[in-house]
Amino acid sequence: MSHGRPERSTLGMSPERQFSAFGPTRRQRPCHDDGIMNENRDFTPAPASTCASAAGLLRHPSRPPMLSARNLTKTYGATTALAGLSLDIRAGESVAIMGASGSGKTTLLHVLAGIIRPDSGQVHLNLPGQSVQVEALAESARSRLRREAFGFVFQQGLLIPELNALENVAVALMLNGAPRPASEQAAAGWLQALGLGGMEQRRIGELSGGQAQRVAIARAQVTGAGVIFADEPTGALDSATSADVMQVLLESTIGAGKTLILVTHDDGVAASCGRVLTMRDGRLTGDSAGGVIVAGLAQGGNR
Amino acid sequence: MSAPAASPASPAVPDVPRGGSTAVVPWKLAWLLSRPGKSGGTTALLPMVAFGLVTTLLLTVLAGALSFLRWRDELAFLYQLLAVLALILLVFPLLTLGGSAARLSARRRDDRLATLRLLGATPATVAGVTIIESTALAAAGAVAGVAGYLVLAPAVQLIPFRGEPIGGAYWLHPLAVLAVVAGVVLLAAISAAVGLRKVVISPLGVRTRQAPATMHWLRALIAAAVVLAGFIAMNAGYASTAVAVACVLGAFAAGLAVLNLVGPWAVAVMGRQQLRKAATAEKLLAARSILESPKAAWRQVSGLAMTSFVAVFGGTGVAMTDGAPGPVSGPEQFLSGDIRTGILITIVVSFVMVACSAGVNQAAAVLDRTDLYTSLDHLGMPRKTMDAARTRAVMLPLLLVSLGSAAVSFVLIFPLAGMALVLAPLSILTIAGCLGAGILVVWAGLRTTRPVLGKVLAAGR
Repeated sequence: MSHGRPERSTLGMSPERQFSAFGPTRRQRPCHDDGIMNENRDFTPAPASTCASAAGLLRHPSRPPMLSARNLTKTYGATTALAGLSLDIRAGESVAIMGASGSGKTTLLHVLAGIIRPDSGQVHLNLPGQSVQVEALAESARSRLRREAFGFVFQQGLLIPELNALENVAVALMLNGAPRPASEQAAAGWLQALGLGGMEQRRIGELSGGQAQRVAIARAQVTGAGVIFADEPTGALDSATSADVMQVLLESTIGAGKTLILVTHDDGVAASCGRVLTMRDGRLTGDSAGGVIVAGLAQGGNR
Repeated sequence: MSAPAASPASPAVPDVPRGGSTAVVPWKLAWLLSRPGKSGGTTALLPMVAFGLVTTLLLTVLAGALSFLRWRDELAFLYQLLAVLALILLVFPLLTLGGSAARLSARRRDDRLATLRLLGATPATVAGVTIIESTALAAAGAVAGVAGYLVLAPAVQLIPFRGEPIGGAYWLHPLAVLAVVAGVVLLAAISAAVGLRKVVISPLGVRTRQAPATMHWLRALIAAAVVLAGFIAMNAGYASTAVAVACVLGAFAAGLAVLNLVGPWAVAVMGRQQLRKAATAEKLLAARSILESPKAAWRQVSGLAMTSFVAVFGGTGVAMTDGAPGPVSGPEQFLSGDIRTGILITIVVSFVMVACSAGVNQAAAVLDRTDLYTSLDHLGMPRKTMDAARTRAVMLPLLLVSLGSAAVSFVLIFPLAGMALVLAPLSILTIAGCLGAGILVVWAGLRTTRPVLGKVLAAGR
């Protein structure tokens, strides 16, 4: 791993784009209720719909989808997790994936993020000036893709307990080869923006569930990732904290033009997203963007 | 207050006997908890392997030392004294390994036992379950360890002392073997009870990680004072030999105590220094991991401090006698070579114990944090970064302790060590090579845990 100048990304992201973010850049900063970035204002979460409409500018139908999945199948023994599922997600969309336990939502999230390979089917990632066939990449290349192009927020936060809040966020940049001082400066900016100013040195055990989840959100975004995957990001929180964390997540992702794909059981969380997909038995059975899909017809393209 | 009437849809609530005996509860719970969980049989297998290694090494070392009892001549006492010294040196890493095994079997259940406590299980029930489980695992491991002692026999019996191999003198009396097995099982039971005190006192204390304990510089000050007192006592004139011997033994004991006092502090100082300098993710993780519990990091490698110290001290003495003309016949002709053999065996066994203990602890740490490692893999953290961080967290304290102690020993007897290096370089280089090989053995022990992490990550994909 390089200790000096950061390596150039395989995904064509310049080091400047990734590491000049000493805190959220103008583009990365969450939008406010008037839809205008204002550096002098404290971060106050705005209604999701406002951010969704701002992000809607980036969802022009003529642009190719950012993530495109075709005929995905995945089985675990006798269990079918994905049964020929196809899906397009455009840049700037906030997509909630819903469904009963065992419907295949987490498997879909993992396949889209390159964590697991499908048994068959393709996942295409379109980045500015570059296109990547995700499932065809080797394990190490998918690992690199995940740490450079994607951000993740998990149900329990899953932060490193030995590290403090600042280091937990900074380590995501350090893994990409960024120097530690620059990484910590960027991490401090994100913590400040997400309302955790003054808590940088706290260990994870000293934070509340909501605060820890904000640290996880900062970690997911500090690298400048364009797509954020969230698996039940509010599943371990009470309803008030859940709403708060969800607003922070939406504001800091789609509010800044990023794409958010989350798995949830919570109708309220799903309602705050611009698009809701429903799954059953490894198939899409509903898509709020394209009306209700009849099971079976979902295969081979549902938009 | 009357209980609300159950609706037709309510599940039936089983009758709970009131005021009945609860003595049987820990046995039932221990049996329920013994069933394989998410991590399969590894939960039970790891502590069993650790207890097995403890028993094998303890029996082998004891057999080697007791084989010296077969001599009755004037040199026999010297051999027996040196064997006792080697045993004392090996007791510390052995206790560390035994403690690791016991803590491992207890810690692997921490969460589930804390949950039991939160559900209302009494402290006696939780303690009972813990002790039953650890004792059963230790007993199974100890029996396997006896088999290990038998398997090692052909190799150990070939080691020569006083010109002849150990041979049949290796075999311990069956009662001695039984006593060792019983001792290991007892150690497991006691460690389990002590280790889970926190769960019993406060179930929430275990479930929420608290700030790490800081190591005060006062430890270094106290250590310096004890060393000074020891130096004065050693250099005072004594009329009686008994008082002089008592002073030497007291100084030796004080030295060990000082090592244990100053060790965690030194490890913490090194950890803080590493944290300041850490420029990469793995260095940052390793430094924070050491600072999480400098005491635990020290405990894992502390046995090497004394071994390295004595290896250089004794090695220099042997090298000096090698360089001088000695007896060419009679039992004395073997003395110098036998001491060197003893030192080499002590070094090797110490390092093997530390390698086992580090390997077992690391494997347990990976299994304990399956969710965290899986999530880091999802984030894109390369596996080699995780492995490098785990390795650094053990190897840094190990190098500090073993090379630091050897260096202190070398400095203390510098004129003699320097002379020995000139007069008998091969002898000194053999000791140094053995220390180096020991460090490699620990590193190799850590490498054997890599497949454990690989399996954990593969299961999360």
